[in-house]
Amino acid sequence: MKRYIFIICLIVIAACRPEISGDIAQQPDIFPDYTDVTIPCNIAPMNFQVISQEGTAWMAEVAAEDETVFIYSGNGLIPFGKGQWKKLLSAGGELSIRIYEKRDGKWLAYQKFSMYVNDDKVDPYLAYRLITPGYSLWREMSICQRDLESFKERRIYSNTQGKGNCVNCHSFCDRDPDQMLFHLRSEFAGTYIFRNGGREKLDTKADSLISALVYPYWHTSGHYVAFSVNRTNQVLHSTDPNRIEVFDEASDVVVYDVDNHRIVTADHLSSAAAFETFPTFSPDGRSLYFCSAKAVEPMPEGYKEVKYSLCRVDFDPSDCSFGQRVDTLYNAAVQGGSVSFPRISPDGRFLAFTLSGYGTFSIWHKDADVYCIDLQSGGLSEMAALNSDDVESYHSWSGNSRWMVVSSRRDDGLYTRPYISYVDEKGMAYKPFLLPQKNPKKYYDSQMFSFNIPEFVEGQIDLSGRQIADFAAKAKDAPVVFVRKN
Amino acid sequence: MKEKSKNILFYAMAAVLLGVGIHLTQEFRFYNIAANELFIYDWAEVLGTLTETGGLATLTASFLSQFFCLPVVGTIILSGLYVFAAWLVWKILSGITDCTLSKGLAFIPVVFLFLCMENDYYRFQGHIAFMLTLAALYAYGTLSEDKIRYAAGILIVPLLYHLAGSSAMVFAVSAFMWEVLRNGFRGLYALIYPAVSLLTAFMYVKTSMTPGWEHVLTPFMYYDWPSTYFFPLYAWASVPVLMLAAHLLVKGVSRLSSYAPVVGLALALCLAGYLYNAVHSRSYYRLIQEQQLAAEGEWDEIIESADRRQPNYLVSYLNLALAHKGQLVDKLGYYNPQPVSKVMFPTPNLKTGLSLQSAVYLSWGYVSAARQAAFDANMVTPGMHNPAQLKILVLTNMALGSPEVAEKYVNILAKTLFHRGWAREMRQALDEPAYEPEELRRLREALPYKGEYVRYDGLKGDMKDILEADSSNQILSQFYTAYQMLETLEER
Repeated sequence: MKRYIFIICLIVIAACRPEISGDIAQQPDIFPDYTDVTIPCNIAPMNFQVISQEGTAWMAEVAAEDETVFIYSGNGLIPFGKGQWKKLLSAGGELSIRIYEKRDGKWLAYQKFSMYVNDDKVDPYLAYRLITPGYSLWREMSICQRDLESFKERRIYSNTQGKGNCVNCHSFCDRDPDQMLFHLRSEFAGTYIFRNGGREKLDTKADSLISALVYPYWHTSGHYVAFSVNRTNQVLHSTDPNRIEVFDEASDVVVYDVDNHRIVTADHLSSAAAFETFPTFSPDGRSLYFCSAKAVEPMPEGYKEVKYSLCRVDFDPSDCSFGQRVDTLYNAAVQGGSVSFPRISPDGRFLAFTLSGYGTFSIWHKDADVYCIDLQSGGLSEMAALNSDDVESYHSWSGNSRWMVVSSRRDDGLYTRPYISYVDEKGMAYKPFLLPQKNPKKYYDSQMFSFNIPEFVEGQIDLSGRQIADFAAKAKDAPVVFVRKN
Repeated sequence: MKEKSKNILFYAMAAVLLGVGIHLTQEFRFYNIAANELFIYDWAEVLGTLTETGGLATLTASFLSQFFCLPVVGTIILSGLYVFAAWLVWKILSGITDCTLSKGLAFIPVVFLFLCMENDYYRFQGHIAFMLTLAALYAYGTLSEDKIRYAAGILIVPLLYHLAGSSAMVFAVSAFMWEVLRNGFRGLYALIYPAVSLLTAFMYVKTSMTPGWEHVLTPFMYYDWPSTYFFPLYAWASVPVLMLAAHLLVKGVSRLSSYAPVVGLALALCLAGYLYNAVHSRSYYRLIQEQQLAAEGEWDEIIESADRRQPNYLVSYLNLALAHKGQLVDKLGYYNPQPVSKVMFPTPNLKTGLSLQSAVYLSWGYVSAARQAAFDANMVTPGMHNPAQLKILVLTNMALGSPEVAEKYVNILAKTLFHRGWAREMRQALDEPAYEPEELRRLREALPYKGEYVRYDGLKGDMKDILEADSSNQILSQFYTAYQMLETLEER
């Protein structure tokens, strides 16, 4: 029986193949640009749209090692069937794709392009915040979780479920869906920590802090979370290609001791003479990295003078204490630019960060690109294949250190989209691909939200928006003690 | 006269009365509704909306409201819908009573629907949802076989929740009431409807398909921002209350004179007039009136209808109209000028206030501020499809050298009925750099040579920068002088 089915399939495939009248001497223009990208073996179907003014019908011939499929399209959208795509991925290696386009009743063949299936899996979920890339106002926003192996997106929390307040800075401990936090602003304001079934809301209005807790990063043990506290302001550019300038007038780094409800800092993490921000723990939990810039006054006049270096101090998780020596890994004064969002690969080998001309808020800087330091050799390199002419800013690593997701404004200069790139053992990034969608052109054209803070997550978050909203409405602030260590 | 002819005459008269009333009181609200919704001619978009809770109501509302930008069409559609709603209510009540007064009293829910329009956060979707609910209730009442009717009722509740949203609660409660009033104790079986509706609501909340309980149990769902919702709630409640009243009428007055419907209608209209006067905000209505007139370039009408006693802030449509007529500096003192420490009328509605800012700043050639205001105004518009603001976003992004994002907005406008021509022109400007529409050229010329930040040196500093870049900018030049005059006023 199987043999007959196989023969019938062969006949159907043969019948599908169009009679080719000629070639088009170029690769097709497709959206998203998936030409020659490296993709994980567990990614959702990489549907794409052929952009052509002249064609009236299209056919994609996708060939893996021992599998060839044909997809016919009347509108340029090339959608892969679920089973079909799974087979192509499991065949592995190179997916060679040739697009045929029907023009004036004749089929013409574009040059082939490829997708390279890599055996390294990407984490199954991606969490992000959907938010309008606005100025100072906000309306609707939500934290979502996308299944990367399909097109399913689940809303974890929408501010319409609460009081319309701002929800931000979602963060996971080592990509663990059971250990996460985020902040709510305005009503029910506070930092909400969900940890292995437990929930708490922090009272972070401690007098000793210059602001509520801001940019978080979990210690891999789950016992600590490093935060920055920032007194932030913003101005609107009149003609500069960068729309907004967001800057800090003061900022410090603190560590929250989750078990003992203490906020701990040290003089060299909270100096008035410097702006310290974007803390990150190393995967072994023994180092705390952060960005630091010499404080500049007055602001915003001096905004272009603020350049953040990348620093590191020892961290002792046994008593939440800091080393006295501050190492500078990237010296902005010498090497130029300004560092933000340091993130270390889980294997501890590479430290990726965003480098822009100046300042702290690289998400609005068109020159922002992602760079990488090899922590073994100390070598610095630009992750060139990952970068574009527009903004590349927030990024995070997959659990196996082989994939990186980065927020990029390359598509239209305003709405950030998540691009995923393969990073090899040497720290070299490969051409990234845009998060797949069922009908990507339609989806991204009509999407009026930015994908903010994309974070890989190992599993499904077992929390609903209703549970979060109910908790926020009832939660009492957990008192927090402030401790300064020298 | 035959009964059928009487009915036609009655409803035609009601439609005319309602039409006149609506036109006199709500004429300028229609443009405002049309400015907040776009019907996108795209199957994927349509199907996507239909999968949302209340999707059919949303889709129908946006389809109808796209025509509200045409003169009188809004009035015709709305009065038609209201008459249809009253007819449906009457038909529903006919199952309980044959009292002719109920034909007029059936306009009571319409009165409350009409008053909903006074709140700018209320979405037209709420009207359509209510209509769908009434239609479902009417269809339900036509089923004579008990078992079939109960089965249909159980199916209608969740279906209506999906298609129309929380107004399905009205169906559940009214169908229950209808059964009890008609069938006595046997009608208590219909308690299943409120139970099914609560169960459906519970599922919607627990699965986060709707944000919260308030969304599934009340008309809160039909507001784009938290707001009081007494009038839609009254419209909802009036259906079962009228059923009860009709039941009592059957017992009390079996048959009134043939003027009874007219008496009922007159009562409803009196109620509408009384409540309208109590809740109508003249100043806010004036703002949306000016918004439409400004969009249509009717500067003379804005000036002629201006009220000298109303406070006139610097950023206002009146001042914009005066500037267009070259009269701002001369007549500033005539219209109750306000100090510049507060530049704008403190509107309670963010969207309308931001729309005013974007329109005025655009006229000044204050490009980045106009872009910011337009972005924010569009953002606070449900669905983020505000055609006027999308157009400003296209122009300002093109002027400021961001054609890719301008193209995104052009693509949206290109899929609409009334804005596709404009989108085509902008598409040409995007594709052919040599082609520069007049409105775009003017903005590009207005870009300031210097000035790192907007509003860092204050509004006045930015105005000065733009004037230095383009001294021929007559509109801004007048506003700049007006600013200086108002500053002097403040100092005094």
